[in-house]
Amino acid sequence: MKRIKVVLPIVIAGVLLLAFVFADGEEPLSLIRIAKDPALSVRALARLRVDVRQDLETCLLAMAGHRDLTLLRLKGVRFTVLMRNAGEREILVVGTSAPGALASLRSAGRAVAVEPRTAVFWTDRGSPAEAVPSGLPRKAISPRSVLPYLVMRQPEHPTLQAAAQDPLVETIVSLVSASGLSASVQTLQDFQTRYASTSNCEAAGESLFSSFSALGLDDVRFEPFAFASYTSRNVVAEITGETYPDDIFIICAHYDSTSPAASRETLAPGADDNASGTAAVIEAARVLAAFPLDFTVRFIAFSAEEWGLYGSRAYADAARQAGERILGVINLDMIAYADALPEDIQIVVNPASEWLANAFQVAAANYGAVGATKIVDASMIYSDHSPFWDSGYPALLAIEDEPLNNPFYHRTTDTLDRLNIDFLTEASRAALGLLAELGQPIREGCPATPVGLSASSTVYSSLFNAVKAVHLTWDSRADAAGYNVYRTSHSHLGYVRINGAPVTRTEFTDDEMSWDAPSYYVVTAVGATGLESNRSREVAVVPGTGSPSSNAQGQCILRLRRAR
Amino acid sequence: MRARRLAAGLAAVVLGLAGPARAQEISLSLAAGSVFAADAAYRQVYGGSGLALEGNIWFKLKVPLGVAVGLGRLADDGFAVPMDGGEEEYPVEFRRTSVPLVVFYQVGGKAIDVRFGAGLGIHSYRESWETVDLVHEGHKVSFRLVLAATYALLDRLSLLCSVSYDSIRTGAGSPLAENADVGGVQLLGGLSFRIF
Repeated sequence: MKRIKVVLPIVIAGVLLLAFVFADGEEPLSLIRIAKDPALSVRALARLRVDVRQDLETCLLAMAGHRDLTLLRLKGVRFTVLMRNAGEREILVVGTSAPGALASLRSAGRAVAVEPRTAVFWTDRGSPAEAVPSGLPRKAISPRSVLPYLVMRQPEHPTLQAAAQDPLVETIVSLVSASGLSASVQTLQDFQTRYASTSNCEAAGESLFSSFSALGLDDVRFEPFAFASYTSRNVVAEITGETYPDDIFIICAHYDSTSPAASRETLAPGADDNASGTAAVIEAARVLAAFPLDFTVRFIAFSAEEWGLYGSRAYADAARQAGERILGVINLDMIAYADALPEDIQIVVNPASEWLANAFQVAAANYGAVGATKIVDASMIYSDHSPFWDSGYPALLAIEDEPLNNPFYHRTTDTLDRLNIDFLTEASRAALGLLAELGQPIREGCPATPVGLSASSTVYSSLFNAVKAVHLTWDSRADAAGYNVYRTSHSHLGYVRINGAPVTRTEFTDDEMSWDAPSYYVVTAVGATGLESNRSREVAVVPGTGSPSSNAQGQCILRLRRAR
Repeated sequence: MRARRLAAGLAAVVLGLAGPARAQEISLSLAAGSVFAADAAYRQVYGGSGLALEGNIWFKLKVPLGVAVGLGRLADDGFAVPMDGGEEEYPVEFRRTSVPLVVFYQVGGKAIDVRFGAGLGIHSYRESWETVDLVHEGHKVSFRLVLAATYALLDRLSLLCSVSYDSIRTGAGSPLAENADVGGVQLLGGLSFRIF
């Protein structure tokens, strides 16, 4: 009897403890910071089902319940709890690189530093988006897990070989007009403010819609979304690809603006931030509208970026849910202020998007008289490329300086007269050069671009070596006398032809690649006269997951799109 | 480093004994046979056994001890193994040259001698693919065990049979073998000629 008195409470307590640990009920979520140490892998995080909401350079921000925290502790994952009961809250990630930024943030609400230049911010009442001190870049934390798209690897540093300029792309880029860019900036500035909660911002959106419509682009539309207690609209247009209509490249910029809290609803000219990027998008659309393309190119002007990237967040989330195949995003944000000459442009990417920065650097060298510097920084999340990263799409940010060096940033003095239009023109040319390389204008007289390229690979191994035999197949093209097969070890960069004479069949086996190195392939069709088509869509053969080639051996005639 | 020191030490012993050491008996043997690889990955690529040739000079002292030094060669041909069901064929070849240095203990009677030995093998190996430009070369010093027996046919000529074991963990590998072992059990048969 005495033993029962002792054992029974222990058993009951044990059962209660187990019930608590394994109960399925709703449990309060905490916001935690997980340090990215070398031992931490995406696979391990996936096994633990960690609800990662934001990837940063040195850490991850995640939501975790009691059980998750227990599991993380058991598995030896280093984390700190930033906020308890965080599940229902709106949380922002805020850039705090400016002097005194963290202190001003703490005076406006609750802020915890998670990196030297990054803090999380929330408020006990009201929307944190409205409480963030003006001038601090911010981003609303993702409402869902970004773990499926998380890539943790060291940056690559491929040798960027000088590539031959494509004469057709050169022609396209030469059509960029400095006066057109300047006029577009002036038009946007003339709205006085484009702060996303104002009617002026909506009017600016209407103006952009009209501009895209006047160019005869396909499917010009508004895409409304809600943020804080407001609604706004992204403006979207596209040139639908003739060969790969479902494969999309995007060039985008935000058209909303801001200035100090006292003035932003009446005066926020935002010439550099970001009429400059929006003008470049309009100019790219104007120039490319005349050319049929292999791939779909989409032109997007986002709203509510200054509030916390709400427009691009809504767009990227919807695209991911719809399963859209977005192959690359070029986000232009502040590309017209030159603090020193010659000014260069900074290309910010995360590790998964690095190929895009490499390709931009090559395009800038070929088509824009502007230098481009690559920055691989997962913590640079304060522009519209970031929601695309969260959805697993490759995206780059092109920006004049990182960190920013524009004294008129987020001020009422950010006006056209402060800008360097030559720099804006060259930056726009570089961006358009890359976009044209990716979208591939169709050349009349050349064979049709091959489609249906697929790859299967087998690793053959001896004791000390192995090869990856990649078997490629593609669809036959009626106007092709043969095909060329190209390979590169860096996506979209430095393709090398790997066949001798054109291949007459629609298959090819490549066994020259190291088994543990990624390889990327494209195929072109060669016509009876020797003219070569554009490249097919790239297929990747990546273990465990370009420079533009000269496309024509002869002369191709430009085929212009019909005016609509 | 340790293996190199051991090899150098053994070489010194051999040289020390071979010259002024007044060997009671020096004989030369030539033998051929097979190596049965210890590593399953090796067997997958090259099959069960490869052709081995080896020559040795045996220095027997007045005591029942001696040293042997030799030169061996192994040649094997095979095919790369598809890791996930491919149908291509990639011929590969493996060549290994070995210098065994062994201290042995000899027992025996009038016609039959048996030698138990242990020592080192200094190996140089090369694997190459015939149709793809892939070559791997390496060197390794390994531990060796030997059991040899001779049966006297004539005054100076004997039949030789030997079994030796080398564990040659290379520290290198491929998707098939993390740390490939190119050693195994070597079974040889041949002739031994007593020089004096």
